[in-house]
Amino acid sequence: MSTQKHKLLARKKSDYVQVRMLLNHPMETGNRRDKVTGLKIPRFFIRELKCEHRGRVVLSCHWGWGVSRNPYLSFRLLKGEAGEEINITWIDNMGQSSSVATTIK
Amino acid sequence: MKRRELLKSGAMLSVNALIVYGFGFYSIKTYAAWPKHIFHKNNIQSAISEITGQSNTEIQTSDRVRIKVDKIVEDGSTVPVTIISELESTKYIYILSDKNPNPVIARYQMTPDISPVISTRIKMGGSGNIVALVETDNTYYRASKRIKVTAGGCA
Repeated sequence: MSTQKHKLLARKKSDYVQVRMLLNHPMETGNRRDKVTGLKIPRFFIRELKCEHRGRVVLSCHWGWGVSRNPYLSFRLLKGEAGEEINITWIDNMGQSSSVATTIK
Repeated sequence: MKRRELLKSGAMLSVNALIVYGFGFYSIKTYAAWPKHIFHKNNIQSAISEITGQSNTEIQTSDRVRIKVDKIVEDGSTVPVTIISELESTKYIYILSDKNPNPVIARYQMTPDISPVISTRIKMGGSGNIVALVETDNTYYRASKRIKVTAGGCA
């Protein structure tokens, strides 16, 4: 599963830029049990996620474990131009952080 | 010899653990505070009062906060939701689900650079209400929608 890549797309529309993101993360609630061992699977989720454009944070998200596995997010950026970069960085509850970037098309 | 190696590997492990957790703690600190107290609430009334400082019934329902979601969903583990706020100066959007063990699902902090239209996918423990809370400059508004889930996804 970890070989699968994160996806980030940004498309220029008439009056906004549609940003769509699909991350690869299990988002474990901590309430599920392993079917074989019967032990609880530890809670493991993305806590914070930030979207940056022109060096500014345009959207910051605080998530719990109620966000679905392999989180999807889409939003509309108001002042974006083709060729500009969009960066998304996140950190999970184990302290691991990661990021993904794209250019607006 | 074996015992020695065992001891050594044990010592290495604990050093590693220290580095990992130490670093983890440090990097969490550099981000803005994650609102732990709201995510750990176990019913929707206490979650709403923790967020807003008001009771559930005191918060105005607004038709300018809209939730776009299918009325009947098959799989509760991935429910696509779109929250649209037409309110001026929307600062935060919260998504809650009253059937989940911990109802607060996500909080989105808006800026003037984006329009307050957020789509995501959430888990729902069963048929129940999705509640959207919007915080503007001076007050809170809410909207909710009843969803039928044919298979739960929040075990």
